[in-house]
Amino acid sequence: MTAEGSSQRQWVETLYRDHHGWLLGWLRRKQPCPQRAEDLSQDAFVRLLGRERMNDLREPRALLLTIARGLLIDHFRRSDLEQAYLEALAQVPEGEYPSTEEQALAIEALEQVERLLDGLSARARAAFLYNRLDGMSHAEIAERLGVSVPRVRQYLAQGMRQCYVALYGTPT
Amino acid sequence: MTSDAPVPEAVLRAAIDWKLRLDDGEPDIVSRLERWLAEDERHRRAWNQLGTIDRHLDPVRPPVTRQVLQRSARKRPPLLRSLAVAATLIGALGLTDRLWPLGHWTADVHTGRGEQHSLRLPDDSHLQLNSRSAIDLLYSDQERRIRLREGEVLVDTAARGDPRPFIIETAEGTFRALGTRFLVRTHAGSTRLVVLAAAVAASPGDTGQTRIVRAGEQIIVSGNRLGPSEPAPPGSDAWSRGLLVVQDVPLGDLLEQLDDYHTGHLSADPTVARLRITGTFPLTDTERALNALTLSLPVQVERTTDWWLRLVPADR
Repeated sequence: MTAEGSSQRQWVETLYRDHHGWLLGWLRRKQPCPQRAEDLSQDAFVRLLGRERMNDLREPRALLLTIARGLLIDHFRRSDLEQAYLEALAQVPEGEYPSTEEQALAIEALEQVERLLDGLSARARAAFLYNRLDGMSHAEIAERLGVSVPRVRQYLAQGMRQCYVALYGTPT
Repeated sequence: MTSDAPVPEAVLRAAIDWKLRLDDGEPDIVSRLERWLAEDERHRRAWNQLGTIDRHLDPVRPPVTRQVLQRSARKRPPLLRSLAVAATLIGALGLTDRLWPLGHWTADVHTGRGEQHSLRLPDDSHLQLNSRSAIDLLYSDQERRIRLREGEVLVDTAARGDPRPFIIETAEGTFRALGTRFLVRTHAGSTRLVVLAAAVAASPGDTGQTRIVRAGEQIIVSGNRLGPSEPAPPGSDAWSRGLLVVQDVPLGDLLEQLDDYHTGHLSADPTVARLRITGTFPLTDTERALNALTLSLPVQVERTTDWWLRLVPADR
């Protein structure tokens, strides 16, 4: 381990000693499962390891909270997705039921697409998915969503731009 | 500069606009698009980058994941009234709406990807809807009219005479049965009529022009114009028997048609998509169809999961 890596680790260890109990308490209030809260707090400190060290960090708890909030949102989003996926699976005929591994892959894929579309309005998102996944025409989407065709084009443009930025970065 | 670097804002906007125009089926767009792409390296880069978005969506194409993603969109009830009307009609016809919720909600009868639906009408005529098709039933005292909104329908009119004319209507024209069996497909601004028995009177838009198309012939109607009558390609109605018959078509086109019936995603590597193929393939048994392909062409199946398949050049 390099000297820098080692001092980074020490820094996180100090933070862990001073703030872990506090962060765990905060996470337990936010969501009921104690095991999950413990996992999330560990994850938060692991994230810190990957960060640039901030020597003059005046508000370490503010930074920890920012990280923990992000993790919590991901966690809720994932449980929400898992729940929705299992509900949808209930309608699948028994013979076509995916294996546990396929289910995990599907949920993973769903999470990735959710992240890609994150930030789109509900309508823009619906229009984009109708178009890209169902192959619906602009006019069909307009009818379905009860909006004008130019508005649908706007939604689709937003969707494409959103994905573009997520995949390639902000245009110059 | 690598091909992954983001392009200038103005270029991205223009590329998105081209995508939308192409997607919207704007006529004669391809040659103009080609010119725009050739103008500047960044144009092509933006275009290619936008093209990869679909690939990122591929893993969620199977019906279950798709349904999950669209759950928030479906919670809201758009067009409640039309839905209620459709539900009443479907109920009245004794149809069960077991169809997977995609597209055409406001149509009286619709099929999703890979679905077919058979329907006996009150006058004993018989309709069969191909995958991703939608119709409205507009029966009245004067006529038996069916509006084909999208997709393809195979019609067998009742043998016993009903005095009312039987008419299929699409955005491009009307097709009046003259005691008969025929197919109408409408897609992207053009309608194809294939007559399998007897004859059909075809009229484009509102031109008042009419042509009789006879058994074994097909015509294409688009932009208020009737194309020439041509011999119908063999096997046009094979889909109604669960088969796909193709004659000298690019592999990519064949896969596109099979993909409609495949749960998941089916595609061909660009290096093999242009290989040509002739044959008869089972529509609902993708495995068998692909096996047949690997026997007759230098291709093999690359399998990401059971539902995500891709044809690539065969190993030497």
